Amino acid sequence: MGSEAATTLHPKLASWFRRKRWQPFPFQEEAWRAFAEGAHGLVNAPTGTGKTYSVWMGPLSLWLNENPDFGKWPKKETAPPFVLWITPLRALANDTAKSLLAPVSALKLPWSVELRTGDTSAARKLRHRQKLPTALVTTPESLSVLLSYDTTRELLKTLRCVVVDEWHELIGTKRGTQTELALARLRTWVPELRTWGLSATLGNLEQAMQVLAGISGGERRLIRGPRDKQISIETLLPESIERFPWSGHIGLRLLPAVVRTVGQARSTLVFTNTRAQAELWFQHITAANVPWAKKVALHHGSLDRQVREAVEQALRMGAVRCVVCTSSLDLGVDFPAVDQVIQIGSPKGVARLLQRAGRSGHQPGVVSRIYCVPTNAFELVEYSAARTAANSGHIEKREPLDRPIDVLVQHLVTLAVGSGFEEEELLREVRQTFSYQNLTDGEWQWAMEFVTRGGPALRAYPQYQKVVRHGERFGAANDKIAKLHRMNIGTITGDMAITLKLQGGGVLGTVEENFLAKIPAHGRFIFGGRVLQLVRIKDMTATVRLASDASGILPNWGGSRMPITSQLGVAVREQLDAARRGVYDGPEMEMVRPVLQIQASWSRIPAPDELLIEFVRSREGYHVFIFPFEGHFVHEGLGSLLAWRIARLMPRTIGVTMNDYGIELLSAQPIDLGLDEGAWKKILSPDRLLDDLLEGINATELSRRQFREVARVAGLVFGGYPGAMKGVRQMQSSTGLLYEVFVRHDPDNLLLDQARREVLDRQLEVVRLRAALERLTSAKLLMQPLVRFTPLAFPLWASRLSSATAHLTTESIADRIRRMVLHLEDAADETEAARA
Amino acid sequence: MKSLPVKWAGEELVVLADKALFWPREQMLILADPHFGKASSFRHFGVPVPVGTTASDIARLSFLVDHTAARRLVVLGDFFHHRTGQCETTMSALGAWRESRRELEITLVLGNHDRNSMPPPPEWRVEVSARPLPWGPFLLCHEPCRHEGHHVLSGHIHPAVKLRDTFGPALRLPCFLFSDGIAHFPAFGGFTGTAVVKPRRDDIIVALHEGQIFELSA
Repeated sequence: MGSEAATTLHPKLASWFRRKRWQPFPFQEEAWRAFAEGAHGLVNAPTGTGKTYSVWMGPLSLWLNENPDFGKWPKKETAPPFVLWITPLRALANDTAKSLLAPVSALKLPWSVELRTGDTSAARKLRHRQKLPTALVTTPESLSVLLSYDTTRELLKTLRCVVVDEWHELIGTKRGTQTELALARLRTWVPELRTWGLSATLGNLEQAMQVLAGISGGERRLIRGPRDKQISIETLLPESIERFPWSGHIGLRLLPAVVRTVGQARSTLVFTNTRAQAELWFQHITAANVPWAKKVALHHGSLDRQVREAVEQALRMGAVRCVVCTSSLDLGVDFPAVDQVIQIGSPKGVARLLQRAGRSGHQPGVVSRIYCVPTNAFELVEYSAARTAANSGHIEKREPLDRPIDVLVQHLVTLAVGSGFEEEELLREVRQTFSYQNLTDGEWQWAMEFVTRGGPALRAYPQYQKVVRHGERFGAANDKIAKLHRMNIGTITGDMAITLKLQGGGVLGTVEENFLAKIPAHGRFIFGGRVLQLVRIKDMTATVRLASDASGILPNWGGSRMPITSQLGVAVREQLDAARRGVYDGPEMEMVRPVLQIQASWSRIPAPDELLIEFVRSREGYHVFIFPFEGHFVHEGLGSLLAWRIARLMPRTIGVTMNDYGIELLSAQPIDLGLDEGAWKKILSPDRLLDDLLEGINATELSRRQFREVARVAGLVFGGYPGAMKGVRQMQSSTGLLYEVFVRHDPDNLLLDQARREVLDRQLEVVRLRAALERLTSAKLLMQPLVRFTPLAFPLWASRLSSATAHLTTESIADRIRRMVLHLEDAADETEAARA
Repeated sequence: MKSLPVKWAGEELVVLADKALFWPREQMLILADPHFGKASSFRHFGVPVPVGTTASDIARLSFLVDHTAARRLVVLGDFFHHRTGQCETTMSALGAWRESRRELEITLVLGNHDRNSMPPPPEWRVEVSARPLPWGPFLLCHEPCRHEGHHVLSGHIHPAVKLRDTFGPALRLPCFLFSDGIAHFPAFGGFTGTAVVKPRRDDIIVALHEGQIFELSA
């Protein structure tokens, strides 16, 4: 191996490796060789195994081979751009640049390694328009901004290699699509450019590589790192199952076990699924009576960047015992000091659990340890299922998006604002990307017409200006358009973030506008582990002061309803099937055994090819529980679909509640399908699925909400930014308003169509939904008329009581308004009574 | 068109479902915040808002004037959205409309957006008032204010009421809000947003939805 390495790695680099006493891993040598041979590639290796250098050494070697004469190295200046390193997280950029610099400084290479992210100073950004560093570390958004300057093409002509870090985070998102388009542009500028990526394990790595490298020619290699990294998945078992909350509770009962576990190791990451849970667990762990209670930190996406960075720094130095965090620490640099990971609540997916486990035990030969803390009985089944799936290599896929028109529209304007484009050439280039390989001529023409003339509905409307044609090339209409566009490049959209500021003190972080809207004046809430009282909100800043009393307050913001993946759903069904056959494998299944036995004796445990439907009558009405195990989103679509189909047969209002396992339909009148299997099969038919979804579910309302993102990406609205350009303030408009104007005056607009498509694909997960229906129609139906709620049904019933439920109704809108008027009056009466 | 009689300040008024109010005794049609040219202004900045909002607003205006046989139209501010929207297309459409309703007297109480716009051309014969205008028991103004001895008719806030129940998404309907001596008008323009108001007891809310009127007074 060593001698082969010598042929692929430049001797200077090989000796640097030796000086560091590093023995190259076989996958690193394989990557260096592939790079030397001119291939594109994707490296799949866990963090902490040297994956950064598996890619970084390739271009360094290449440069050294091409510039063998030390005497001819540039003295005063640094070498021109050679590598572009794209990272999804600007928080990662700093550490990445540091690792990249290590061999550069050791060998005194005339290379500059610089950052360009949203945080980069304006002065440096300005300098980057004249000269770019040898290696630039940047984000997809900042790369797009770079493409929007006309000097960039000339500056990048010496580029040889582009690397996309954490590609698994980008693929399957609009940021990933944006990256694909940018890469295609770079490849047009520099045809011999080599594209490399780094990715965690995915179910479709091969495809992920094709998406990264584009569909045109060029050899590409998938390189897999060591797979013998041992991962241990264990569960902190409650003492008894009886004391167990049935559903939805935050499971603090296991707090003593969690504190004990943290106490066993030097450093622990405690992952929760929501920020609210992170705040809650942080509160309780710091309140524990242990010597290290002061050495506990909190990390989530809303906290101020400086606070987060301080926590990360402390983690790196091994100065904290425990960090309670959300997905905010899923990504990123290594924290070698982390010994173990604790996962609170459902793992939601196999890959996610593995990735979190992988944040610990970075030293070679050390086991990555994750302890799972169930918050309800069925999460025990999920842990067992996730471990089984992980052991047999059943990991989720991340599918690339299929030609989102809003991202394309943004890209067209970006390029026009930059050095401009020629239509035919650009269409060929765009179709080289995986996402847009099937882009039709019609869609392309629509997008072109949209950016040049505002779309068919604006034909011949002279005031509209954005992209204009100069001879064969398209460019920006004017500087103001260019400036406005640059400020709004990107595909990350979210709630407006409001800055939280301590009265007479510093910035604490940001919270979503929607959350603050729910806090009454002088209301209290928990943030960053502190109880705060709202003083006022003004100009995107909320001023707060510290409050002392925390009683009765639950942080309930920023909650996400991430569903379990279908991969995990399948694994859960398999675990249940084993239980049905009396096989309880592992401590979790053993623990949950009494619960499942009750399920089996009162009702049934369904086999993978069976669908369990339970009927219960209570004082509330007639309940039907259906258990497809397909995850929350699919159940949301499925539940509404079934309710709609039933309500059409027999006019009525049906309440729909769902969780990751099943659906509850509740009606005041009996659901007269009874036990007729044929009738249920009809209700479950995949025929007319789309029509029924669009007609039955309030798809219009969902599309209107989804349009918010589409409109933002396509440049119809401008994100809030401080110091908005003068004269632009009157441009504020809500996307809801735009949506209505488009629906009324330009109904064929492809962006509306895309919003609908995204609702179907992403929110209702129509592909999964259709597959589920197909599976269910061929399933054997187990119809169970019962007198009480089973263990499977109970959590559904309980969660309906604690949260708002979707209802399906055939009332007219005017009837609805009249009924709501009554509600409004009731509410007013109550308020009045409360005031009195 | 649906209408709803409202007695206020001792005057008989009629709320019209098309976001306007008629005062029969004066034969006066009153509306607020049409924001003419808003779509054009957006286009000027590269946002392709479809064509049709101005035409449909003008059509609604014509219908209201003809239907009520109003002698005077009062606009409570923000007639124009911004000077960048006062393009040839918008101005000629409005000019033609003015020509077609020559007899109608028009009064505009200036709003904040009007100050960033050019005044209506003289040939449109629009009386412009830079300050709140007393008229009988009423004070006509753009931004809501309180006034001793007058009931106030004002625009500016684009009020809407939010109705919710446990059955699905909340509804947000533009409305008239009669509250504590001030009548807040909904924005007339088809391409304008709304702000949700929280009504208090004794407020009268008249919500409008697709040609229908719902009175929500307590």
